Amino acid sequence: MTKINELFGKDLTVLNVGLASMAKSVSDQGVRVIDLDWQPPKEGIPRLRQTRSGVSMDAANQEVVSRIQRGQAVLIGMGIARDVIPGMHARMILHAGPPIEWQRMCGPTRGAVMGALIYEGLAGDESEAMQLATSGAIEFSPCHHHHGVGPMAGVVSASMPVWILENKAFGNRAYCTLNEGLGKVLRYGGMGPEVYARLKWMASDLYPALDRALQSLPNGIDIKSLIAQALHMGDECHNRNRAATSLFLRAIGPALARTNKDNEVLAKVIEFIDRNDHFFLNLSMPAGKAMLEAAEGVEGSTIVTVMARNGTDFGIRLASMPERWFVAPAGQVQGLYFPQYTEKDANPDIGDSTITETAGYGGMAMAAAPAITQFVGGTPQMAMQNTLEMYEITFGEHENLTIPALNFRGTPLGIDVRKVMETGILPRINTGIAHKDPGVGMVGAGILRAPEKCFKDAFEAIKEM
Amino acid sequence: MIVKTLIKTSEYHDSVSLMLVARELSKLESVQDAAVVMGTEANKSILADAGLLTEEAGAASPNDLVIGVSAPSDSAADAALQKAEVLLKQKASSVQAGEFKPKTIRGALSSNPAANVAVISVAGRYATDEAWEALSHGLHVLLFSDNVSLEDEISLKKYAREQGLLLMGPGAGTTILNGVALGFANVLPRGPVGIVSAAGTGLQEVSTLLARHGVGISQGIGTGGRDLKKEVGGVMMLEALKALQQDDATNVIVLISKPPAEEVVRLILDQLAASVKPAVICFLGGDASQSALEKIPNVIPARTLYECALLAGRLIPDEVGDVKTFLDAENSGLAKQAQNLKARLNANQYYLRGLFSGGTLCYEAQVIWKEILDIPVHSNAPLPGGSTLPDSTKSRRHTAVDLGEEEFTVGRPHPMIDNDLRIRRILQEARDPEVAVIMFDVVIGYGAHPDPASELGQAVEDAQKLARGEGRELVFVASVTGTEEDPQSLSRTTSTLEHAGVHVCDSNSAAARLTALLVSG
Amino acid sequence: MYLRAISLGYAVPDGNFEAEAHSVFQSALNLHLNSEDNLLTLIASSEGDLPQGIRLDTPEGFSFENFRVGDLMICRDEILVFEKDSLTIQLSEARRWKCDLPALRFDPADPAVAAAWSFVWEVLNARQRLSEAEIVAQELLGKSAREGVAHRAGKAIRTLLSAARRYDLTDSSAQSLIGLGSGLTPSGDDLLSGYLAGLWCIVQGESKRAQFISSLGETIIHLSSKTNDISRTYLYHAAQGQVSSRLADLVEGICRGENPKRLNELAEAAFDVGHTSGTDTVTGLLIGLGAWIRVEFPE
Repeated sequence: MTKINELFGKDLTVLNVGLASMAKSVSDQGVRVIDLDWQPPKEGIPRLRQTRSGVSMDAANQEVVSRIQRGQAVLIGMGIARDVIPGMHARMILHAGPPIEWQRMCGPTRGAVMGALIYEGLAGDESEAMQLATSGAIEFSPCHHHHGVGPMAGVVSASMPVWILENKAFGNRAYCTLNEGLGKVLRYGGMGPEVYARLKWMASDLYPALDRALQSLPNGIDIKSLIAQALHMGDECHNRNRAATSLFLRAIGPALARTNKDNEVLAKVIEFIDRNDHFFLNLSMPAGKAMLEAAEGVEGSTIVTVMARNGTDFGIRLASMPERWFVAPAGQVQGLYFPQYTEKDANPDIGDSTITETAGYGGMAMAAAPAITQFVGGTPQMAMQNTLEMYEITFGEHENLTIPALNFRGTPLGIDVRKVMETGILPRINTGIAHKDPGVGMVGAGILRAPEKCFKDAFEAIKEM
Repeated sequence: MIVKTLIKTSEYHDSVSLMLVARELSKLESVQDAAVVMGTEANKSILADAGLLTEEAGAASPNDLVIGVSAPSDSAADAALQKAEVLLKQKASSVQAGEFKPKTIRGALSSNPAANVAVISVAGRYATDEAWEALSHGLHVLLFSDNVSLEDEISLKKYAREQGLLLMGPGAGTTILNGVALGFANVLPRGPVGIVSAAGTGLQEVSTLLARHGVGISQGIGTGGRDLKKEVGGVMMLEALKALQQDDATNVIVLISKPPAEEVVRLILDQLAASVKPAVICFLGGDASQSALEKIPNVIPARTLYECALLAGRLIPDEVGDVKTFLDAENSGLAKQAQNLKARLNANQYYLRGLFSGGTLCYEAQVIWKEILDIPVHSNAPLPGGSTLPDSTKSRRHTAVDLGEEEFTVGRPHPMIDNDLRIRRILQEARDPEVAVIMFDVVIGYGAHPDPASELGQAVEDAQKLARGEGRELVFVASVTGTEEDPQSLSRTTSTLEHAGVHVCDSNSAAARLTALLVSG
Repeated sequence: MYLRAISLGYAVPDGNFEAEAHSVFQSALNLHLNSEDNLLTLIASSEGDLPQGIRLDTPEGFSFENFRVGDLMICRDEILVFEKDSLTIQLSEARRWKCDLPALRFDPADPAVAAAWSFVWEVLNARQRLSEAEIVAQELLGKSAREGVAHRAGKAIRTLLSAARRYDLTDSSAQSLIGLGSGLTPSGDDLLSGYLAGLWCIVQGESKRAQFISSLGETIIHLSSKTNDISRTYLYHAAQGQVSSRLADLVEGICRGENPKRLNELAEAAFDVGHTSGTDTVTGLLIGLGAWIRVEFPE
């Protein structure tokens, strides 16, 4: 039977591309009509299908998406940055986002750098730290250049303990510090005795306790699986990690108990995790990094494998050119502010946490986390629309991460630069907002779109590919 | 007395909201006087007279909204202004987010994988790309848009055929799939007649004539007007014909078109011969292909759309026998009516003017006029070998104008949607002292104007008034293409027209015949 | 949403342009063209045509209120797209709309025309009294004792009328109407727009009249800097003899000596603009029609 004869027997479902009146007259007859919000194609955006050397971009993207999906991000242990992060040394400071020199760093990043120098004992006070930072004696490098990611300022110094995640399917590893909690904290550029004291405690008590527990788990903890479960529990694992943090505590709880004799220390560790809804963020991020990095180096791909901000610039990298940054000024976040703050206090968009959107959760999975709108603004309906809109610019849908409210449809996965440019839809990001001055901390949370320029420049590069 | 003002800089609210705010404020017991005005000099002077002009208000610009109140206390004045603010905001906050709409076909399909038909009506230069996109995703396409090049049409249709998909159009105004009207179409019963038509209004006329006699259709597929050109090769008519031949719900097939290219006729005949299903073929105005058609046993040729409907619906009682006998009986009735109407005309009113919105209806009328009239009818869309009107905007002697032709629709809506052009043309024809009768078609249904009869009826009354002012009477003849179930309703449309003095016939064919009889013999 | 424009006013530019949303209402959205002083107005299908209007084939329940002042919009190749919100408008199949007031023949010597004028005058006054409008046509012409806006407007329009009859261009009473009274488009402006429309209908080929109107129009355009952007746009077009289709249809109906039923429909449509803008404009129109042609203004 031909497709025409097949159609004769079926209920019609009509896509309306154009006049609203056409859609109306059809839906008036009780027929399901999907009325497109059609817009003319953007000027000067050719439809790219293959590279100059003849590689099919769709095939390359298929490979990238498949690699990301096959990734198995497992927490396998912990270590001290200088010992485990490749290239790390005593006079190196890692930071979030694309590369940046001291002069152009924003307030929170500068604060975090100075704080780290003091914490490391490289400087005695803030003015010494400032001097040292400007002296050129410190090497600044993006986390992303070292298989790492860091939230907000994302600062990592040599003696900090870090999580080690391994992508079991590909064998690559990713690193991230431990989440400090809210308030005056280093990742928001916080300096001062209480910041250093907390970091010290994390190194002296929290890290060994967790490390001992993890060592007793030969298979580690499957973080990807926790993310998948958390998406079914109202998290999107960027700005909402409440369920995932609980799941993590559940996963590590018995091992913690078995391997730690001192109940008071144990209680403090559990309390620390329990009181920080974002504790899991520093696991969801390196999990994304571990899965995305395995997809890098696929020739002809137009998929984004890094989106990151340093509070001054926003940068993206592509699977096909993993060494190259496409950079634009970081945007201002529209969102809800804590009572005493307004957007005047806000620093531009900052942090590596956009790795979550890149890996197919975070803002991409907002439909799974309607409650988040209390935090970032908007309505649950808008959360749904955000995810639906993102399907327009992703190459695939995640087979393992699904959204109950969309009938367990896979999350939008693999931001395709071509689609971004063709539709003019820029990726949406859920994010916290840092105060522009060092050390004040978080002033709110909200939503913004990635800057167009990164994608424009990347598109130009793809044309030449 | 405390006087306070609130200035809303460059804020515009409609007059009704402003009035409501003013009323609510003056209703407040604590408010002595209130004013809600734009901050112009003239209004400031009024405020000054009323003692409401504060320094702030004095500094307002004409683009600022000034709300002034006087009240016995500071707090009462503040409360009043706060109330004003709330009232103004009330309206603004009522907006809600709409349903999510995908931006691309790809995006829409990812959320709605069951979609099977795309209806494309964006501007022509974008339509081809969208049609490709739809076909490549396995969707059948109704390409409503005009201004798609012939080359694009050919390659789209070839690709559609390879994929086994329908590409209806471009410029496919009418299609009925599984009983659903897409584009310009009517509310019709389902039934045994399957129609493929290269002519939109032809499909509408035949399907509505059938519907009025209780005969439904299985499918009505519009191929677009150029499908039967040599270059396109009738690709879609052939594909749709094959599908209807295999369709169990279709017992009778109807094909409608202006005369196709010769090689295309051959292809169609071959395909018709491949099945025993009866097929009524109306190649309107194509006398040449008539004989070839008659050679195939299951094929019945029809000369007009009306004949086509009669034959396909088997509407002629057995005792009457053939179409000719049936029509002769009907025609004698029309002849009598014409005789009566002729009495109203002056001796020097010679000519008919046909003003059509439907191209096929214009064509059908010309087929009938050619047969009845001694002198040729001029048209901007003449029959093969007919006389082309040198200037479409000016009629000469007997004239048939298809106002849906591109020359009239570039940069303006189609006459089925917008009656303006026809109204003006009716008035123009009414001024010509040699005109006897003005005929027009009224197409209703989905996509058409919501109430064409009222507007055209008004035009007829105006035109008649104009003619009477010059000492003569005009005859107006029309037919309505539509069904009772259409949103505009056949009976309502008919009675509105009759009320305006129009003689409404049961078919375009009858209307054309009556019109011709008024100016012949 | 993809909508087709049904009609384009004469003032809508032909080529490409950029604009931003100036003011937003439920069934209208004003656009400020980057290259021009006057506004363009997007209007819902339920409204009449405007000289500066782009009337859209909007579905039932459509509202422009999702848009914000300052939203940017570009028009390329007859496709108009809003950058932020999702509205795309196809201009290419729209009908150009323009009214031709000087072509009308207002001839109150024809009893049907005189009756039509009187009929509309009556329904106008009835409507104004019923809605407790500030301005009542009848009272403007009589030396009403009413204070405030009506008093000023009455004085000005009477002076305006007698100046027109004397072809006196030195009269400055238009000035006191500009920006006068309540409403988004202040009543005085509406009266002037209507008045200008009335004058345009009675030029009847006389160059003296044509000259007078264009001079008066220029004066009013000049004065209109004293009122708001929206009002100024209407005054500008009225000075060129271009008014809304509802007003043009009404005056055409009067000139044709339509029957009361039809006149009533036309009048209702013309009244139904803003709160009193409609009735104020019709007031100006009916008075303007009597400037040079003897109309019996009822006592």
